[in-house]
Amino acid sequence: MIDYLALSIGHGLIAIALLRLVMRDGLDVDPFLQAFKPKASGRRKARGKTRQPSHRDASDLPKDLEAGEETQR
Amino acid sequence: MMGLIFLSFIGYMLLLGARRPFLWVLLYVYIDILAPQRIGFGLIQSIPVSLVAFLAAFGGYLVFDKKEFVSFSWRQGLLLALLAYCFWTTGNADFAESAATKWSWVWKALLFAIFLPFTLTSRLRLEAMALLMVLAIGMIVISTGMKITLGGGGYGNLKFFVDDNSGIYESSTLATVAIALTPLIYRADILVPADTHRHRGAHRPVMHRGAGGFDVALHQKARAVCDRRGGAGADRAAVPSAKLLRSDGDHHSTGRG
Repeated sequence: MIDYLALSIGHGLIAIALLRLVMRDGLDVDPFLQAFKPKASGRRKARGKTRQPSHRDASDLPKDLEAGEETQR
Repeated sequence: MMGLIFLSFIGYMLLLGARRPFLWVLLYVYIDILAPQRIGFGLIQSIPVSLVAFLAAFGGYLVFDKKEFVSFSWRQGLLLALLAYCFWTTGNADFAESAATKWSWVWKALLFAIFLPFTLTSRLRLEAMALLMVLAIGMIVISTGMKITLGGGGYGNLKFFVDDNSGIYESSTLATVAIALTPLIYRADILVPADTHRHRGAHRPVMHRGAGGFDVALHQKARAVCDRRGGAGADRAAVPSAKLLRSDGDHHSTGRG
């Protein structure tokens, strides 16, 4: 009886979670990570294959991050 | 009867996976943890559900996944080295047949451990995986815990779903995993969009601050991939993770619990 109770609770919750999961767009494509993609491909094309990326280039920061940096300063 | 219920549930997950193939990865994890083929009787014992789930997860990833932000980390390399070592020691063992039986679960676990990071490419996937682990192990823990509380127990006297002292059903392993999963249980916003809390005007509770653990892991991965590709991520090396998280709209998540 205890086994059935535990299995019912767990499977019920998993079934609900999966159903909600299927309807979420962020499952396959993370909206935040997409912000990396266009800039990465754009810069890659601009630089070519030989040049290594610089480690400090403020032009790559998203606007909200730049704003955050300035606010803190 | 139990076997049919488990088969129906596996069928349900396979069906949902047709729309989101990542669910097949979750299916394999569910089967690997709970081992429904050992709990149920009848038809489910004759079907290699674990193999089916693995093939679905691997095939689904190869065919349908977008494979963005995928990278091969040094940890995966280490696991690959261990897999090769496992293969070599098993093949050259004095008792090769016994060794192969003993280590059959090891190479399967290593193989999946190498494969799994390729599929965890979004925050939601990470959270879904965490939730499934908590719920699958929770079933075993709830059942066993209730039996101990109500009827007593002791070393070697635990009554699990299956009478098999191996894998997660080994009492010491289960105790360790149960304790290790405790922080994940406090992830109250799993599968609930972070914005929902703000729109409702509710304050995010303190435990939400722990949510940053996933964020940091994923964002570091994204940055590492961009870094390797020579993209914008490389230029963000000096930006603290907390600031990156703010751009996600999660103003309370700091990446530190």
